[in-house]
Amino acid sequence: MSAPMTPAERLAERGLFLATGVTAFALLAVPVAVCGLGLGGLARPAGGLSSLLALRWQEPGPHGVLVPLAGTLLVGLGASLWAAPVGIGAATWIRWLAPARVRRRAREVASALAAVPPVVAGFVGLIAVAPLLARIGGVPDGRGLPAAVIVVGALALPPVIAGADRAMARVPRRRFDAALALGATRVQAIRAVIWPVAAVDLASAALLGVGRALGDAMVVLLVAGDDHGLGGPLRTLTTTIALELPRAVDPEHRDALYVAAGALALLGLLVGAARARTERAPS
Amino acid sequence: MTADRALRVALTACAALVAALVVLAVGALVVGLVVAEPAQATPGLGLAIAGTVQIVGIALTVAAPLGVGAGVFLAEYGRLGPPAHMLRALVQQVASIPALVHGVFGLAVFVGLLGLGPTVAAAGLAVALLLLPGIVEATEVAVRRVPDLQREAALALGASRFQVVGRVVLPSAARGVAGGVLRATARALGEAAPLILVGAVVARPSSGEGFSAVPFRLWALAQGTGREPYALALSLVGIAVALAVIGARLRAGGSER
Repeated sequence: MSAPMTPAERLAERGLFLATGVTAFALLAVPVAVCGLGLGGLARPAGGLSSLLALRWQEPGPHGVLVPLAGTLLVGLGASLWAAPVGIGAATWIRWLAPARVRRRAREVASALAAVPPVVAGFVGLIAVAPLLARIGGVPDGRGLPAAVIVVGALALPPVIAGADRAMARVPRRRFDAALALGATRVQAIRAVIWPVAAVDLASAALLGVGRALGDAMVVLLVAGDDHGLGGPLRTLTTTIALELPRAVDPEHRDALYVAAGALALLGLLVGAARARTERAPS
Repeated sequence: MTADRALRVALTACAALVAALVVLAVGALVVGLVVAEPAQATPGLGLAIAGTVQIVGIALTVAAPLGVGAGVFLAEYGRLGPPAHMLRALVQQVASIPALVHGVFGLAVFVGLLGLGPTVAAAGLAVALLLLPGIVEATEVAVRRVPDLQREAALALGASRFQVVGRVVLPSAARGVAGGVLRATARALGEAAPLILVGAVVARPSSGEGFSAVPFRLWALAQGTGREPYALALSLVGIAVALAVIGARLRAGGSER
């Protein structure tokens, strides 16, 4: 026996369902359309499959998509090599070793850092990291793979720290306390109890953080260098799409760029799938 | 015991490194702003600010009602049903798609297929798509935090399902929902990648067409001279972080109630 709904309420409830439907459609549309464009380019490439699979990307052709894909994966690998241990280490310190007052502050700062616009991170890379590398590393103008690895890693730190913190929060506190009661130091308890129990979640937190930063275009656009050729030869999916798609007229070029965009979308979906798995995992 | 000590030092060093990176980055921006030599102003700053206001406005107008609606549906109506499971999985998947992909979609669909051209409308819609997953997730979390006791009390008084949602649950979850929307605003404000593809320009050509935005302008002027890029970067980061912090406080505060 529920109260009769007013017409306005009835309308609002319909609106709620409608909003849900439109949201589902809109969410589906982006990956489906972009992957579709990519598949279209892959199915009958205007320049032939051999051009698409060539190991070079140059004007007027061939545009081998494997080149920017390799660049993206290389940056991701480099960035995870340093950002994963540093992020997990920092999260461990914040959760288990920091004084309580510092801990609260540090968490707030880490979550605020996640809001830094990527274009600003890229700009800092351009004005600070690149000149530094040029001076001490001898990289001409400092831009290229090393700069991209540093800045993409830095951009991955906030999500890695947040994810690692969540992963360790799932370890029951009493296990830590039990280790301490047996006479272990805090660091011993971390090594013997916390890390082994949280290992899988920690690894996926690192993967997700780097995966997120990897897809970001702005950082690499600013620190990769305009010269897509040599020095720090760095061409990634994002730089290629952002710089070339708005101007591409040649159908062969356009198809290759669509394939690159499809690959980028797919990479994002893979990271999302990994995330869905870890967040659903009971523990 | 020495390994123990070494690990402690290493962990502290990790945290210190993160803190040092933050300080150095902010320091580089501030020092850059101070020491940069003044240069002739590039026209188009007003256009960029106006463009950002419009893009954020359009994106939120579209994404906030849709995202909040879907989030409420997930938390209140769907919860365990198959449609809700599918939608939730979709949201999680799509949340990790890079912003640039939304730009490609915007270029192909809004600019091309729908014929909007390179306008704030196309850019705002592309950014709206980018914000949807975050708003849905934040809303669902906030709504789920409302204790079941409140729902049961309202149901016991004879309220219909929607009346429970509209009169009891949403008012209690309002802070959390607003926090999620603020966080999305921070993101919309700083996103440059989709705008490059949709076709932003630094300054309007004489034909009088075209739009701009602050993060796009920062990218375009990053390698130029003068104080402006530093000022743009500091204002973007300041506003985005402030919005996100307020958003986080709202969300955390909502849970204590």
